[in-house]
Amino acid sequence: MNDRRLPARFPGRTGAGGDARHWQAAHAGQTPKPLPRLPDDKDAPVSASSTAGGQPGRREQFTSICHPIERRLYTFILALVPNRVEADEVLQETLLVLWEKFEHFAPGTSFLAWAYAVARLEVLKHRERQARHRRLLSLEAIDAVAAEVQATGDLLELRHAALAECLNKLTDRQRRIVDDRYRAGVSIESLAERLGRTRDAVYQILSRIRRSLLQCIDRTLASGSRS
Amino acid sequence: MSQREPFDPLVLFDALLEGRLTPDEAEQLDALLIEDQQVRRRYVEYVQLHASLTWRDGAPVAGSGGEPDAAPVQAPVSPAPLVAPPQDGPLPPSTGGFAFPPGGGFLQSMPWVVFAVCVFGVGAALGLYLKNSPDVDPAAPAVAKHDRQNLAPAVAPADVAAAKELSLVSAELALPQTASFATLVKVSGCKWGACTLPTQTGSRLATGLLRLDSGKAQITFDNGARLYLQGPAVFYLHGPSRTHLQSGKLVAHVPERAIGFTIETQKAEIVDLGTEFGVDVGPSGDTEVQVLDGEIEIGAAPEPAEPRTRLLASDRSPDVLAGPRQRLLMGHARRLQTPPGDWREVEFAPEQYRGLMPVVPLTASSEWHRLLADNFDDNVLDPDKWRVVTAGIPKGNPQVREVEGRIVMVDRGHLVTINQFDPAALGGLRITGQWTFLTPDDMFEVVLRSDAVPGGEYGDTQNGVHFAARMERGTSHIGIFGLGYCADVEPRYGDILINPGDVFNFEIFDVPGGMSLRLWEASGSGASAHVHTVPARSAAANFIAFHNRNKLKNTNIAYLDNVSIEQADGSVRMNKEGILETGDDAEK
Repeated sequence: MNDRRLPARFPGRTGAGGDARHWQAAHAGQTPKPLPRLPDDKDAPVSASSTAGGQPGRREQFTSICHPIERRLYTFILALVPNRVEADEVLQETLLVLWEKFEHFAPGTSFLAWAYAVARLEVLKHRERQARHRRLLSLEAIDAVAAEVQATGDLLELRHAALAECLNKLTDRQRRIVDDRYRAGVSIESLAERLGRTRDAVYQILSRIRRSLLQCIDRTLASGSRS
Repeated sequence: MSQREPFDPLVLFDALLEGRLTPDEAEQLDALLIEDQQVRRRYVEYVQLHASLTWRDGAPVAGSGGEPDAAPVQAPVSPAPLVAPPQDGPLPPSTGGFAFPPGGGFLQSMPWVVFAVCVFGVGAALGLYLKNSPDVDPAAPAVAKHDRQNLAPAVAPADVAAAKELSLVSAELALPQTASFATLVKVSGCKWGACTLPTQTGSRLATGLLRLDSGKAQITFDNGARLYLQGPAVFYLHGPSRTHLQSGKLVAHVPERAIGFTIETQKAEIVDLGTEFGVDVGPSGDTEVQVLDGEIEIGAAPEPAEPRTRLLASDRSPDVLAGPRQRLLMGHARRLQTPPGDWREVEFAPEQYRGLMPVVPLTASSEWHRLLADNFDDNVLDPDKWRVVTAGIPKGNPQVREVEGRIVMVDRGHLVTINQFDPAALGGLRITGQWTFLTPDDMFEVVLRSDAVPGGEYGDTQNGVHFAARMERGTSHIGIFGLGYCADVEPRYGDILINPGDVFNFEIFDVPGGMSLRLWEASGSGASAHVHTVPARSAAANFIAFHNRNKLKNTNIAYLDNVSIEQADGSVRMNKEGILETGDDAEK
């Protein structure tokens, strides 16, 4: 501890290409990495399904980049168009635009950020098409929420990861209702009939389940995400 | 703190996502989403839950048609009440066929929401409990009754009419409709008994009863007073600055602006004079009080004959106190037992209350004077204590947010003290708190003697002494080093084992003779490390900044909690071995 020389583990402090007084310099060789650079189209495997977009291989690239972020994109859209059916429509439209314009996507930049930008435009277009009284959020609120989703970033991914465990903590009955409603897409009416309850009661049951899930996720994150 | 009205944004979110939002509610929600970052954040989290639930096999599962959330209900058609009578679970027999206030907007519906949460959150036992419970806490229903009588005239006629359709029990329950004045901030391991207030984390609280069977709960009043309750406890909220502890144990932390905050028990009345104190009430009402900090005033409980007026005048205390009063200073403890019916001195034993509070002093409190303490539990960053600096940080998405009872430090966002803390002028500083390393590249960093101005390629604080620990794959590192005008600090580094998810306590000393950083795993079982060095010369500025690492490949997210900044009280020095010496030792 009294050795004034620096441990070899702090390469930055040995002056190797960084501010010698600065810990961060230790990471001079680890500056933020861009998304994996797309392989040249020529090198990409040709796929029979690659017809759209004009170039063989691009669909695979697109899918490999786009698929991992689709759920986040859906969350983003659902926050701006808080109706599942409409959000799904906008998601489809957004994916289509992303695919059509994929050749303009600059490799090395954030695909997610680009996708958010495209989705936001699609949300606004969708809003334009809507009758005024069906518009759920104002433009100002849409912008505020869009910024919030982006700012919340990876925290939402942590929350998503925590959900699986929280679902396991539901009672069998609650779990069945969630599965019916969300996994199988069973309508509220059908659920009400099946459970022998009123529609309002079913809404209330679902609301309570979501609250308990939300709180479980809160707790999981608060407990430090040990896993 | 931004909302004063009884308010549960999730109710609005539900209505929105289910297509049941009325135009008024839509307008209200829209305004909230624009103006209130906390609501916005919660909204995003809630939508994400919906999205995650809906998402299957790489695509959302669309709901089938013919239901409200398949298409939004046209605005004018949907005056449906937000909260329908819940029917999941056993209903109290007496609540059959109750009606909701007709045409109720969001605000009018809220008490019913509270009502619903409570009744169905705790089961049907409540009705029985309030109506006839000779064997459980006989005084609690009595208090509730007083309050009912006093509050009844204030209830809106429409609500009264609606309430008449309810059973007596329901009407009783529905009455806590006074404006809320406190928030149930944090609960851990809580089992609630019958209560008349909601018991979900984040619930707004008005007048009413809480019965905590086990676990711990924290209630933060809008005036800043905080109560840490430990079950089993029966607790009644009278008003914004008056509560009744029927039985159980609590610690009250009362800031200056809430001086006069009063806790009454069956036998005693304790008035805060800006302090922290613990109260323990036994089953028979015997009351023990320990003054952990500051000063309080104690007296006998008011005569039973006047509780009604006292309740009405609940917030005019302490001038309505009955019985002889006495002041009690920090470090003292008294017990009121009947018989004999007077306050007797008992041993000062603060340890018994430490488990209730999030901030546990590590050093004898008499040696250190607390200058700043924040457990970040009100979910609003206190502007009197902190500012957030993100300018000058080029990488990532630097943020500092107070959420869910702690600070979330994202990338290199700086949390900076409003005040300066000059260790030389103050005779020494001690900074403690808790840091949770969450993502693999996190770096714990506290900068003292700093101008707290980020700069350079990484957005690091350019001037100050850095107390830091950086997570690495393999062995992580802990260190102290100076930058800018503190560059003459002799740097020191050590090894420490840190993994994502680890919660560490930290303790930093900057005192005459030396500076040190100690980190140890909060569970007490894992890693710990300690480094020390000699102080720099006086600095040009003395802000204290906390931050995480700038974004590398991934966003860095860590939690900061329970920060306390204390001033050395007396002669504290650090010797050459980095050991702290106090009092006589140091003067030699």
